[in-house]
Amino acid sequence: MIPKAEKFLTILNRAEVEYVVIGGVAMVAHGSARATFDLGACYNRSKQNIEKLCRALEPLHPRLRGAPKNLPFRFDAKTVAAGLNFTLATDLGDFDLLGEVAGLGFYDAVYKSSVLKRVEKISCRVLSLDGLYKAKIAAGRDKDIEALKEIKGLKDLKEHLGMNELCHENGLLFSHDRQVTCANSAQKVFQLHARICLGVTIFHNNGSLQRQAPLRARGMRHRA
Amino acid sequence: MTPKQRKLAYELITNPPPGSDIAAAKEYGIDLTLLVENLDLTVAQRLRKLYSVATFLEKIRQGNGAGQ
Repeated sequence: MIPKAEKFLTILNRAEVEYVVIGGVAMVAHGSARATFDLGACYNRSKQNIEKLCRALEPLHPRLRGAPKNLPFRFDAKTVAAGLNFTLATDLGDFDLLGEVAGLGFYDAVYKSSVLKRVEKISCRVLSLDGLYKAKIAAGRDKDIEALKEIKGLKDLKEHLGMNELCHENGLLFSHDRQVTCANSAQKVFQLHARICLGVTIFHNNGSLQRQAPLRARGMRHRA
Repeated sequence: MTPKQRKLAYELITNPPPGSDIAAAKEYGIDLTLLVENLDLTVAQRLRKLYSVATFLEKIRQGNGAGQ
């Protein structure tokens, strides 16, 4: 059963767990029309984060999904540190916890391929459409062929509509869909931000700023 | 989504640019109207819609199981 994503994410955020939403729920967050029955997240495998994660999930009684009821399983920091990927059932619903995402790698790589999404009162990082595409390719499952078509179509549609996402964080501005780091100093970020607000966008990917035409419905195209 | 974007979206899915990924998705059978409908929602609304659909499907699944 799918958990109420907002409730689940609120619990993770309150515990300051470092995670990125992946899989079907990430696709839906981007606008996909696919149904999914579990929430997936890639987590940082640092000792501190694993402890936070376990403390946050403990009240939800996480157990191995589909495993015999008499199979001994204790969801604690030791177990998570010894394992990597877990398919869990919790009191709030099914939750897939991945330390590594095929096609992308561990948390740091997944984080770099993520965008910040606002879900009403909370913010969470969600794997980008490009990241989802890579993960689906790596998974190589027949059922993902349709998802690949949908991801590409959705991405193209968003680009045409000028709905690309820019993410401003830690003094850097990213265009995750384009995998472009836009600035490397607070001043440049400020300039960039100002120009975007004024209807002009600049992408900075190799130390130089590039001026582009004002934003139009066609979207923010990156000129290499 | 602004009214202008909505109009453009429906134009794009009705007559996708030839050779585009939108055209490829349409040709494959992806229902592009659902994508546009979702793009018109906030992320929270999309997730609530998913929860509602998944809950409904789960009930059907459980009902089928009980019927067998």
